[in-house]
Amino acid sequence: MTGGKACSMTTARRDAGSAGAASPRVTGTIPAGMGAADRTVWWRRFLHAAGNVPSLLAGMVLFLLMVMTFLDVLLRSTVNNPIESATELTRLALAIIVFSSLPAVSYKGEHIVVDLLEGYMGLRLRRILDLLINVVSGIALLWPAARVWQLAERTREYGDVTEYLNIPQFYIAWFIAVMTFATALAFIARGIVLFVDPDAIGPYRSPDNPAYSPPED
Amino acid sequence: MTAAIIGFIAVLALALMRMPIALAMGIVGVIGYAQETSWRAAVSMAGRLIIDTAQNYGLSVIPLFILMGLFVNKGGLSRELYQASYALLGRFRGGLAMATILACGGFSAICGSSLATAATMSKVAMPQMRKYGYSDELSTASIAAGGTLGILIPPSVILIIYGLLTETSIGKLFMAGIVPGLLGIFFYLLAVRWTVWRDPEAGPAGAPMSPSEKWRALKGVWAVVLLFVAVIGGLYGLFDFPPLNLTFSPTEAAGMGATGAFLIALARHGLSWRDIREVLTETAHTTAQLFAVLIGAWIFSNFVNLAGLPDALKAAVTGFGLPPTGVMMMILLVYILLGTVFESLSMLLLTVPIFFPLVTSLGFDPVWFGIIVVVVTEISLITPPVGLNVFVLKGVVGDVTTGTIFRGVTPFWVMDIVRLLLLTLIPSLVLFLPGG
Repeated sequence: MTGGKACSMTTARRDAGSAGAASPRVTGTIPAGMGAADRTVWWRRFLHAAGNVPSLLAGMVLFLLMVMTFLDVLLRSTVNNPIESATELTRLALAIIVFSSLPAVSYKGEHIVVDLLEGYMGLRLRRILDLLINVVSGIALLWPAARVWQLAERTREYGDVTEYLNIPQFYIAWFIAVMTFATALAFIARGIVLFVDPDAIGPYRSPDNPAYSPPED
Repeated sequence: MTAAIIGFIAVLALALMRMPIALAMGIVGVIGYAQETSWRAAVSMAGRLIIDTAQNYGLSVIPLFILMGLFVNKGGLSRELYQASYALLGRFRGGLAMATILACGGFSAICGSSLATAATMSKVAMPQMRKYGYSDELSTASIAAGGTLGILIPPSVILIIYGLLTETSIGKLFMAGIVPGLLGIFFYLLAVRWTVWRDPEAGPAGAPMSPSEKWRALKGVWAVVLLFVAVIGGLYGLFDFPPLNLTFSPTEAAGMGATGAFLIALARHGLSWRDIREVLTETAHTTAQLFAVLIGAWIFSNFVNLAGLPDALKAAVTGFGLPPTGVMMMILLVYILLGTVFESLSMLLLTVPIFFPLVTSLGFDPVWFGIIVVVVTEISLITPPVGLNVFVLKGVVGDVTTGTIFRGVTPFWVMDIVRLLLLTLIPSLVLFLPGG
């Protein structure tokens, strides 16, 4: 059990997924070390780093959002002088937090997945399905990504800006479009990487995630 | 109507093939929408939803509440809560199991997720109950059942999302969750008592504590209790009097809570840079994951509405001439059945857009329905064959079978059904606090 140490749906779901499939003990015979991602291969290191940089950005923006909300309430209640641009800054922060994280979440497979049949699938079937589903997901995202880009361009032509700070709206729309593209690529990359080496991203068949072992009676 | 049903089957099929539920709903939603209108309109609808959802001010409450839970947890709350609950109940027969229930309830008051509550509490409570020779049935079941309280006692991620989907006040939903949550704790305590009454060996009494030990244990949680009261109280307008005049919007309450939790964790245990980074990244990732599902669900519900499913359902119900209570019973049955198979959030997102218009048109209160849906979801978390909380327990504890846990959970499950009936028959239990 790697996750579950904290209060979030991500870790908990990962617990549920791996636990739901079968008993960790059943698959304890798998050679140790297979599950650990080997970071020495250059493309793995690259993909890992590519996900971490935006995650760091998301974390910093989240912290700033927290501090700003706190200060806003404090200033409003003590000197009756709230931060007027708080609402629009919150919106911007939210978009940055969500869309910076989406590529990494998609590449690492942290999305909410129904794990019901996982325990009943053979490893080969699971690998083929993962390739198929992830590549299809990635390709399907290309259309909305392109559409978001067009909508951003339209906003730029209209010259829409935010209410208090006059920040051009198309910046954030551009950012969302670019990150949606990145998310699409992350899905495709995940599908291919998993097919080449199932253990490259996280524990795929280690005792931590014995997803392909036979279901219990 | 037919299109919507085919859409449903398609979402289920894709989800079972392990496509992320967000994408399954989104892709089917766009394709279905395109059949009713045009591809251009469908992709535009999706693009607009992506841009707008990412910047939806109301949704900013989600990352901030998740952040609060993670910071408090880094401050070592789960252990302290268990200590405090033990100080209150440990000396009774079945006391450790009762302490577990109480600690789960307390943890839910900070954390919005049932699976996380069960996973966290099992690490703290399980070794203790083992040490005192509690039966595997009782110890695992009390954690699995207690954990379900996570999504009912505010703040609750599920209630926030229900509120946003149906445009119901999140503040009211939170208030409405308190009494059913406390009732849940009470009934679970009864279930523990019943279990040890049947089999005194299952849960012997723990070692009594000296008054000074008790005081120390209870003192450990005051800051967090204060935080909860400040956050929920602020949301409800408890401090709205001169000179403070302070009422929080949900986002502000969450922001204050997160800051408070950060300061508590910093003061208590000192947070390393690594801790802070971990908490922030995990919050951001969970937020992104939830937003993805939300966007997918909104796209799908646009299609379902366009295809006229809610109207068709209304017409069918009127045609059959069922009384509202009968309809509600059937809806609850559908939830319990779906819940044996589905993860709670996906189930909520798939069903609420369809049932909600029907339910409100029959004159049921939206706040009440939200709470009822969450209680039913809680039940589904411990119902075989796919009770997710039971699987979490199985994963963390390891050497018990799911059969054992399901056996132990039965009295808790029965109590849940009693609570559900009570809340259904006496809606004012839910509604008197939010005053709706």
